[in-house]
Amino acid sequence: MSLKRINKELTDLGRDPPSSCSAGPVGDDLYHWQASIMGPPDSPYAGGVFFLSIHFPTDYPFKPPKIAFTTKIYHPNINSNGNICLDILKDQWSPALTISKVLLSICSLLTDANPDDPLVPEIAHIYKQDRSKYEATAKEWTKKYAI
Amino acid sequence: MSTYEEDHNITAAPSRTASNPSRSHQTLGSVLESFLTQDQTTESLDRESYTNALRTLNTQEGSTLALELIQTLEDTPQFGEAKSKGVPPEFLDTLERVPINKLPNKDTADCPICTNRFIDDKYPLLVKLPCGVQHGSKTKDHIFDLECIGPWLKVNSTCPLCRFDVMELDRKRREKIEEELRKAKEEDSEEEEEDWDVYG
Repeated sequence: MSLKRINKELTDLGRDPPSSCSAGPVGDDLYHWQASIMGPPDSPYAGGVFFLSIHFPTDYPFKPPKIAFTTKIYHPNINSNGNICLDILKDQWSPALTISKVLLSICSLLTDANPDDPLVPEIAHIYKQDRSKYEATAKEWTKKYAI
Repeated sequence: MSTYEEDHNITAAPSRTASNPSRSHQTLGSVLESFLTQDQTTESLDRESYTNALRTLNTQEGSTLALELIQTLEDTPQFGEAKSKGVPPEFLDTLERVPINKLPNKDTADCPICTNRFIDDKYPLLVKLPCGVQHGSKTKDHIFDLECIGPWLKVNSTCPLCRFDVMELDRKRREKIEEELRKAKEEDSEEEEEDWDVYG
């Protein structure tokens, strides 16, 4: 089931690609993908291209894929290992979700961070206390690591 | 002596009609019982205390074996399911089956889980979740391959499309039925005891 569904998602991505992201397998292993997300224009990540690694579990889609940023990014919900704090990747996962939908969710997370459920409390603190400082640092990191 | 059937020149099929209601009754009863017994088990509590103990072992002693054991615990059906609140296997039998010809868009409709069109399956076995029903006829039914929704509901009792807890809906439905039964019973007893002054 998992392989068939992953294959189907790959075809669907090719036929109808989302505007700001792309994804596909790394080499021959269909369970290991790489994805890229363009920094949303209305965010401090604008202009950057962020890479992510995707690992599908063998019981996909009953378990969520493991997704992590491989490009460094300054964000309250993404830590230095690239781990993402996003409910749909954990307890709110649904087998009706697809990689395409998840990538779109990650895009919106870049535009609207969730500082009340932070993975990096220090960044969340700055985000809440001094938004312009957060934006400046996020822009700087984008320039340094994602362009 | 001739039987009733012979007298009326009909063939008897009483065993089937007679067993049907009792069979469905028993299924409902067994489902109810499994709900009740599941609620009362302390399995989920046990699992939590095991996990906590192992986590302490891992943080204090740096035991990687403890981490592996936690994973095993989470992957073990009895423990994992108790934790993630899946439906009992009998529940799947109570789901409403939908014949593919009844679907308004049967040529294009697909299963949200495997994303394959139902029509591509030679013998599709489709079920409708109880969600959506309560919002009237306007709501789109949430229909899945039984093969796909089964494994999901066993670990998570929510609809993949709307996140409604199907067990919760089922429980409410059952409570409503029980309420109606009780009301009907009360009305019966009121009729029997005629001099009971209910309006007084």
